[in-house]
Amino acid sequence: MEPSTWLLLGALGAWAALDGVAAGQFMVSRPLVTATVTGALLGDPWSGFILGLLLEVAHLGAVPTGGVRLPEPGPAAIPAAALTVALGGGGAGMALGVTLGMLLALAGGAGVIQQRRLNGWLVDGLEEGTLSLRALNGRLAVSLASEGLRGAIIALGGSVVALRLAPPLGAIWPLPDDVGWAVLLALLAFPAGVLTRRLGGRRARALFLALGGLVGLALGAWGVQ
Amino acid sequence: MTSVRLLLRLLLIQALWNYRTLLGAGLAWVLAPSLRESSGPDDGRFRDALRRHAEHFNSHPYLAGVAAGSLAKLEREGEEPETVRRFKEALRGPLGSLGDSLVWAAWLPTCVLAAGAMGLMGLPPLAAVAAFLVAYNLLHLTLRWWGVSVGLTFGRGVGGPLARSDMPRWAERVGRAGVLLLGLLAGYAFGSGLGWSALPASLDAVGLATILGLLLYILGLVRGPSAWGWTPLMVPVTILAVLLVGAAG
Repeated sequence: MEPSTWLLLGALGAWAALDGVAAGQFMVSRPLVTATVTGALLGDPWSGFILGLLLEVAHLGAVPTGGVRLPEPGPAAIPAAALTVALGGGGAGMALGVTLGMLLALAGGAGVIQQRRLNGWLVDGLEEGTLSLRALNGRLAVSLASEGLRGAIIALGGSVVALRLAPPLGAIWPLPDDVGWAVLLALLAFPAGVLTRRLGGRRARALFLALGGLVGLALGAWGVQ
Repeated sequence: MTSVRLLLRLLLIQALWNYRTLLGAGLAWVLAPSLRESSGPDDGRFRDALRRHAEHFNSHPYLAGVAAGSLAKLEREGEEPETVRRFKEALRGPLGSLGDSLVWAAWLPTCVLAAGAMGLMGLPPLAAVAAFLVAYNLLHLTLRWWGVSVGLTFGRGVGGPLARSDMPRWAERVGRAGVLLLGLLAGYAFGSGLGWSALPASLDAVGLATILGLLLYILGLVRGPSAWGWTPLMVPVTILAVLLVGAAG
């Protein structure tokens, strides 16, 4: 991979970590975005997009209310997409990419917890009135820098590991492509069910889900693309 | 302090989020220029106002502008600190729950699913992602701007605009659209094959996986969000088990 690509992946990871909570929340931090952009940088945007969509299905059912501690899937989707693209997409690429993405998201979530503890230390004295505004501005900059660094490390470190692991993982993956897909989609059906429960009331869920399913089935069967 | 400057600072309101004061430190930083204006040359009064607003507070980030705008107005009007504190306390719950139900639980998943549907039906991936970002941020930025505007305009009277905004009903409508799209994606995946048989003729591995998928879907539907925590372990552990089988074989 070109040095410029590594730089871009690191920058994307930093931006995703910042955008996730600290700065903006424009949803650049979503795995759909980071995985697709990673795929595009590595020459396979379609695989990145599908992987991003699968990671979204896995994570959308978790809602970030209050201080609940959740995984951080955005930066994690970057090495996950790198792995998927290196494996050529397909059942193996998607299953292993989703796995890496979800494991790194857990690690990222643990990093977020530490970041929040750091923030608590950085604003010590503010409630007592002993921290000046100038000092607060400096602490804010430190927090943002640390957040961005965390995301860049996940993106770059994870991608190095992903690209090293791709060949041996591809070699030992035992399932044919269609079976690999079927197993992965079966597992992701659980968070899809959770997401359905979260969206809308019971009657609305049944009606709109069935309607959408029928339309989707028809479009898929007739080969609309 | 202009509404544009307040809006720009609000983009960083969560930068100092911590487990002790939650959004408190961020809110104090957002309000700092406004508090400086209200305090005039009295540095002690400014520090006291900054300290007060750094206390425990929480809100949905996109609706924090309602709090910031109205608090800036109250401070400018010289309201008593205790009045300001009680007003802040009253705002916390509604600003959190309204935003969570409309944005995190409805608008975000619906936009993601819409982008997924567009991509699967032929829109180039980067275009689908761009469409997602544009559509999502239309509501995002509208909410931020609306919050700052009503806060600065109505101050203590923001309860009226909040109630009239009808966000819970919008959350419900958006949620239904999300469910429709989820069904569309699942149906499309099933109908088009996507690498595996749409209707397995026999109980082969794909057929068994399909049945397992249906059962897991129903389990997720029945258990709901409280059971989501199984997902981050269930999926990777299963895939890693398959990999181990492959390595052993």
